[in-house]
Amino acid sequence: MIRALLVARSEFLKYVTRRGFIISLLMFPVWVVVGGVVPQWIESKTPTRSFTVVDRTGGQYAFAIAKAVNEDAESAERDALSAYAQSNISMAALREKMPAIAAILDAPSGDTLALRDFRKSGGAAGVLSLIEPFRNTKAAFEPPHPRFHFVAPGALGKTGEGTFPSAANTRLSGGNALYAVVLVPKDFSGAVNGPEAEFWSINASDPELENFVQRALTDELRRQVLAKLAPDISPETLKPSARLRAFDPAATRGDHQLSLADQARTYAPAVLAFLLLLTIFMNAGALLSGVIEEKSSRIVEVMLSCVTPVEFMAGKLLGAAAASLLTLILWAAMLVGGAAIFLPGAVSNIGGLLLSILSTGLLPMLLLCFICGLLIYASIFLAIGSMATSIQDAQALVGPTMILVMAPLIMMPALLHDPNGTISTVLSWIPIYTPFFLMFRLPWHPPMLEMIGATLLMIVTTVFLVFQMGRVFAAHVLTAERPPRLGALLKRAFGR
Amino acid sequence: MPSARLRSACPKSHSQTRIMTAALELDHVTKRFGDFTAVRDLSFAHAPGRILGFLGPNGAGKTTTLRMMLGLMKPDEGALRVLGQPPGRVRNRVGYLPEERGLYKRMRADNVIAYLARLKGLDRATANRRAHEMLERFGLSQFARVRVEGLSKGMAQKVAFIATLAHDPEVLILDEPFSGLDPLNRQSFEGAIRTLARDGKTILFSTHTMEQAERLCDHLVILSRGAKVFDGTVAQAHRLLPRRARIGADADLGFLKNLAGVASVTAPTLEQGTWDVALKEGADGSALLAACFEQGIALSHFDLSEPSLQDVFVSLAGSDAERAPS
Repeated sequence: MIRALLVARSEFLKYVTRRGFIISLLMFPVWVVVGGVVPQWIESKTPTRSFTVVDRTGGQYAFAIAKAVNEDAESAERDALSAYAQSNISMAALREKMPAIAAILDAPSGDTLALRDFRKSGGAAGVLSLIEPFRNTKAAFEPPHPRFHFVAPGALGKTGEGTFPSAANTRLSGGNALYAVVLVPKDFSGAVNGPEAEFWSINASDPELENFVQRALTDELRRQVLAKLAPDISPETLKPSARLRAFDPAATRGDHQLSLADQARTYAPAVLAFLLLLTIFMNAGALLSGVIEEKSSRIVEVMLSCVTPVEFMAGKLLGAAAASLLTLILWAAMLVGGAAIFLPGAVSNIGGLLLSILSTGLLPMLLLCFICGLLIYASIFLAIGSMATSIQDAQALVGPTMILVMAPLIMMPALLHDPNGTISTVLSWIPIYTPFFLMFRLPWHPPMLEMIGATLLMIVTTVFLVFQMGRVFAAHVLTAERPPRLGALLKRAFGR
Repeated sequence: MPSARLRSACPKSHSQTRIMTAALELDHVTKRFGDFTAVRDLSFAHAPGRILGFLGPNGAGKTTTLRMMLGLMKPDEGALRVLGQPPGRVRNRVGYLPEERGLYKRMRADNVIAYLARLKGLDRATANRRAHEMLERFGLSQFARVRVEGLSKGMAQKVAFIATLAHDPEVLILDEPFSGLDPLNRQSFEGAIRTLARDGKTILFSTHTMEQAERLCDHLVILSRGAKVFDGTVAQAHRLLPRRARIGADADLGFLKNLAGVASVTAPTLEQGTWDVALKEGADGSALLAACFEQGIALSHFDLSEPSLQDVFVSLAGSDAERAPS
């Protein structure tokens, strides 16, 4: 056992000091930044798109679109202020002292009632002055620039049917070119084939403005229909917005309302299951190339003259598992550290979420699943490495194995749709997938009997596979033969 | 040169040479890989504190036998004992040096020695101290903190040799320890091996180089196609082939075959311009000279020589070596 630990220590140090490990470690925050921040950054750098509307119906649709543009800018401003407040304002104190203002800032993006209250409170300037006493950082609020800018059509509005295309083309080119021109025909609402407007733009690949205008026109058509049916109702009343608050009987808040921590606890196992696959991707190459190098340079003979094959493989598995766990810890530390540097106000939130995940009763089970998963997959890759005499040999075996191991990713949508449904349940009973699916389903409280059965299956599978793969490893690690045929391989792997 | 094919030329049977306190002992060991028999009914014993040369062409079964002695493989038939016990039980008392260094390239020289010594049972402090002491003794102390991949071939071989010795093993198994070494390093290694034998270590090394085996070994075992074809001392090996006389003369020397001590006479060939006379064991070459003088034959050349170990090896395993897989 001591010798297995010595091998594990050496393997661990080998993993964590190789360049690939450091790069993989740093790739995670880069990935988080690329996935989370870059789209926002790109959006902030996208210039405001100016456009005009030629409304031949009299102007009501142009007015509706202009109004929608203003509301969109207000909504973006509220979203930005909400994000700013979560990081720079003491929200707990604000919720206590000024619940109405806190509700404006806590509301999700697109909440029309919050937007109405935001407008009533004086927009960004008004809300900022109200929350100023609760500010706990020096960071100033930077309002976003609006996505769209509505400009008057000018002479373009007076052009006839025949000259419109060339006139529109003139406005869409040159120095102060517009991004798009919208033509609402005279018979727009009464057209035989249904309302149809024209969208003229030289950038057909960006549908954002096109979709926005289409939505604004549709809203206006609906408003008109409703206004005819109920002429006394105000436009605000005709735009009702239903809010949903999430509740769970198992939620930690006294009123069973779902908090952010509850949601984090729900999704953390899924994230961990995903990270399990990610660490397998990261370690598979190192495990394989390590064994192949040891075989080709005959280090393996020296090692096996010191330790038994079981000790050697156990050391390798423990080393790989320790390196993977360290990866997870360092990623979590990077998340908190990155937040401390770039989002100082969010640190306590992120730290609190991590603590709430760590303090959950699911943690021991999650760790068991994670380690069993790692041992199952790592032992398979070690066995493959022991059978290969070159990286090319290994790749021929790794390709199909990787497809098999990564199959759970394809099943993710089905899992999310119904975590305790038939597909999820069946997949949980496929031994090599049990750790992944069990981990994924934990927060959705699968039936107790199924939990116990699947856990036992997972443990038995881990012990069986580590033992059998250990046999394959011991049988092949000293040979210089080509990998055996699939039939012979399965016989050796699962035979007695 | 005529080729004498010799089979089963062991001076004494295994049972006769059995040493009660053998450090290495193989008893009718057979190892098969599928239909291929790598080692066939191999038996020999090697006394403690002596040097055994393990010879054979490629594919003769040397590495398989070494692996069985290390406990890396189990024989299909027969038994092996190292220091009187099954190989797996005496791992910490055996040191092994494979042909291709067997070191982790990215580890530092001192770390790799200490790591392997710890796996052989030394505690951390002793392993580190031994690593540095031995690097110093072999003149490599300034390279202690250099990664193995940064060392020259000779230095890496020395580091591997130190790693084999660091835990002070009683038995050393060295697979082609001199391959790839320059003459100076080879000489230094030979000196180190002699010193270890003087210190009471039991040494087994496999080699293709007959001169080294001749210089170093007390005991030789030659394998061919998985089977033992010789087991004895260097002197006994020399006696396997007859002494030969090469005689240069214009006359026909065929009459020499009638002499009592002569085994065979071969006429000159295009490759060899002299008569080749093989003598029987114990025969004296002077009788040949006397017979030639009696006949009044003028000799241009007379050379009486012992057969080299190379001759013995080629005779025993040469034709098999050509057939053996590499």
